[in-house]
Amino acid sequence: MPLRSNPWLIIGPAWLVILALCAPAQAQDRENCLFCHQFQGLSRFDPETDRVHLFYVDPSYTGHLKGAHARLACTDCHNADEVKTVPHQPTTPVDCARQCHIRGADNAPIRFSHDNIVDMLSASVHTPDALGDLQFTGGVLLQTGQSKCLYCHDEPVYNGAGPVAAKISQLGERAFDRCDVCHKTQLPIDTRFFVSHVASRLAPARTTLAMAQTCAMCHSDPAIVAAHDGMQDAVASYMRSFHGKAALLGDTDTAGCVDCHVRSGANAHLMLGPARDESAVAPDHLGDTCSNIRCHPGADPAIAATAVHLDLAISGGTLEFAIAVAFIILTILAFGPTFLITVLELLHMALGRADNHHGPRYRMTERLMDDRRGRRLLIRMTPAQRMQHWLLVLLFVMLVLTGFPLKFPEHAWSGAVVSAIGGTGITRIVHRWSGVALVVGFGLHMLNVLGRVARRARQRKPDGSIVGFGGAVMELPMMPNFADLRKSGELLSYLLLRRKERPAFGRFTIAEKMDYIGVAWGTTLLGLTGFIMWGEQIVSHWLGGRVFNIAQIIHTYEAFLAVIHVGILHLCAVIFSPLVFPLSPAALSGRTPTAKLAEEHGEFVAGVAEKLNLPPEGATNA
Amino acid sequence: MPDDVVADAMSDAAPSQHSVFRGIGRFIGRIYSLALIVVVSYLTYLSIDYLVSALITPSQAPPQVRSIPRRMDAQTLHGSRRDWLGLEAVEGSRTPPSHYHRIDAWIAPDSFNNCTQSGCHSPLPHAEDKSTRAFLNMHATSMHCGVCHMKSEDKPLDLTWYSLADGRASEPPSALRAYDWLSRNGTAEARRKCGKPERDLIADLLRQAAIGADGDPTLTRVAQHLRATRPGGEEFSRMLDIATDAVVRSFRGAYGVKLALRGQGGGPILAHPGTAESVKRYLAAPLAKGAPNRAAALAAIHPLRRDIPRTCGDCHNGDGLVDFERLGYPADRVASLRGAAIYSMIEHISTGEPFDYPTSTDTSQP
Repeated sequence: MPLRSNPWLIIGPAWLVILALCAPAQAQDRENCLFCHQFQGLSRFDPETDRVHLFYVDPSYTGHLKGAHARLACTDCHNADEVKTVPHQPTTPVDCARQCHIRGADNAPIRFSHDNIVDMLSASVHTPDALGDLQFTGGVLLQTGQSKCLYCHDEPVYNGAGPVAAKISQLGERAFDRCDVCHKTQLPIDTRFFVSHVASRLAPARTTLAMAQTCAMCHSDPAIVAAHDGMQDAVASYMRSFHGKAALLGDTDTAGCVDCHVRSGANAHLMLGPARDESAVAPDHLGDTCSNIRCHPGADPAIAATAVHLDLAISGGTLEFAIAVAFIILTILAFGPTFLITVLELLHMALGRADNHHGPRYRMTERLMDDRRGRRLLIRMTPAQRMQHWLLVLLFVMLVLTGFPLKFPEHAWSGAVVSAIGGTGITRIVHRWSGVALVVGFGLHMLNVLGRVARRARQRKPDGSIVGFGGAVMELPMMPNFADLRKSGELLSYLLLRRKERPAFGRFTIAEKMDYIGVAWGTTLLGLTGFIMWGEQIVSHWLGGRVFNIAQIIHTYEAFLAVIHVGILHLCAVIFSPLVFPLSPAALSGRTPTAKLAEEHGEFVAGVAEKLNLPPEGATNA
Repeated sequence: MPDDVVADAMSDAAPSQHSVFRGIGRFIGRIYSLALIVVVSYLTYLSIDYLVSALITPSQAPPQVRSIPRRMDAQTLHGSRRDWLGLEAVEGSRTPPSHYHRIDAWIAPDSFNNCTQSGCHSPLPHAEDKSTRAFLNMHATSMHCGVCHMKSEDKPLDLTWYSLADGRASEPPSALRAYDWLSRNGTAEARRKCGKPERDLIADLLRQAAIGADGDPTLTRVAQHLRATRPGGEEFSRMLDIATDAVVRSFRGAYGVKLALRGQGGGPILAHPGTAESVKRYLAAPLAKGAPNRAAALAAIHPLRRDIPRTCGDCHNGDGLVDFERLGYPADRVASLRGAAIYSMIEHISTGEPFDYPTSTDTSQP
């Protein structure tokens, strides 16, 4: 008999051999579809539609029972008549609500269907009609007839016992061995599948970030957003919230879309819009949603006024927008003058321009530095001050490392830093307690200053009058005075080539005094807003929820100002400036380089020279 | 920077000596100051620009969220799974909506296959014959186009593996070498004799095999576990059994290396030689099917092309053109590839006659 006329003479025995040889044939792959479909390359590309038709199915899904559908046969979803021939017939798209046959412990089929979900969706904001009408940027996402479930769902995978059952996670496979002592023969049940299934379903099916990806499919699509009145890119604004940023940094416990938009214990398929009274995000329920036991227990329901979807760019006219604008102006005003002076100073160095008195000043300073007493008197920072400075450096670096990943969470470096620190939980703890240390340190410093002021206030001037509180404050070495203001103008004139002589500053220049005041201002503001955000459960009872929007805006803008001021200008002054490179010794020994002393602290040098009865040749330009 | 240099750099009046070195120091100081101005100004510009633009530009979801592939299009064929940002942002990220099944491994892009990199052919080039196109494309993950489409009269074909990492001739795939090692050490006696070097060797082969198979998690885990066992012990032997099973399951054509015809220098032939210019010219003005000069133009850019490509049966039969053993395939894998089962099935499909798919178990219909 010719083979061509009866191919089964070859194919029949051939398949017997294949079935025997085919190692990957899985227990649940009853039709042995994976014999071909396990290959990634089993696919084709249609250039006309620019679409890859991928026929690959991961064989480990069924082999390792990776998800709830792992025990289904392919033909439970795909029409058997269409796929039983090779090559397959054109296939009908899968209907997710069709009835399938789950195999029970005794391998007996149990009928099952998702048709109840269809009813749920019909009563939700995501009705089949709403999903059926979607026009995406760049065209359709699904093929004709494909189930709309695919917008949100793909092959379900167990997340693993993970956070839900840490013990099981630790034991790994041995956990199932222990179950099998009883459940293998006497009470037969597939313990691995059962435990994985139950443990996985106790946690959300998707992590917070994976959920955001799914929701972004529609809610971040420009065409969809434009087609719906009042809709904004909700995922984008969510990702700028604390919750979204934490999710980007790997926090899987932070609140995601479903946590807020589905009422506690309700099914995600019953998600409702805010206009519906029974919605989790309806005005009457939103407070309960935020203050539920898993999220912000104990917080006042007013915490709901915190805007999770705040997008400042489209919030013009609000208080939040006004504060942001005010802080940008403040940043420019605080940063701008120092930036201008720094750049002009560098320009002078580049041009090789020095003031007429530089030579004599430099020589005077050298003379003082050659003298033991002179060297000691020229130390501008005491050991205690240097220690405080280094403590501030340490805390500042800690706060920046633990805080700025939250400002730029989408950048790879942020995730790397947070991972290196030990994850979002530890990063949060380090940030908060570094902040506490900074505030406490600042408080102690201020107590010390106030003590000095109080003592000085009671003393008498040479003319016999009492110094007084105001006078004592103005005498503080870091306090700017009118002379500083005048000299600042003279310095600018000098740097703009409108004045020949450089003004001589005292122990601290105006820039250093402003740095100090900036630290005091920043620590106060950042500490206050930090405590507000940290204590949301208490603060919400006193100040409502909107205060958290404001606190966050102030905290982030002030921190940004601090970082650019220190990172650009201060580091330039104390590390990168040609006068001090590679590091100003003042930070270590308190001594300032001779050139810098001569250049910037002429009045201070003159004062020391006077104490040592040396003629103040060129020390001041007075 | 020393004070004297600084002082010199700052003041024309300060230097007391004029020397070449002082002049150089002054010049460097000035250039450094200028560079610092540029850096400080640029950083300031970036900072203020960020502040203002972040306030006035509406938020956009970050790439980790919005860049997950929405469609399985040509772009996805030219990158690794790692290139799909969203897929790497979270563990077990979802697949594009129209594709339900998880894609835990992806077709490794071949940056050295000139046929696809030139822009002429898709990485999945076979599209016309419905009955065979997917099966033929399946071979694109483990073979260069030239194996079937370039002239070679050698029997067996003179083939070499080449690395997808650098396009150079390579050893047989780690998965095959691992299987070969596992087969040779299948007995209890052989396993007892294994020491640390043997354990590390097989663990390393498994790790490399995992990398070749787009980070196959099973092979990765097995390699880690194996390295943690005591060589020659009972646990070591048990892990070798698991490894054998895992390696066999990983024989799916994704090895991190591919087969190609061997050139005169011993390296793989990955392109038609001397055709770069004619390819450019053709791509600049492609000719439609039926155009009079098309055949000549195509012949010019395919000097090595076989008139009739190899067919399945040329390799998948007992007397095939491929010396699988020499290429490192283990004996039972060779038997499977040369066996009548695959050959018969493919030959039958290629004749255009569909056949019913036999199943081991009946599936109840709803």
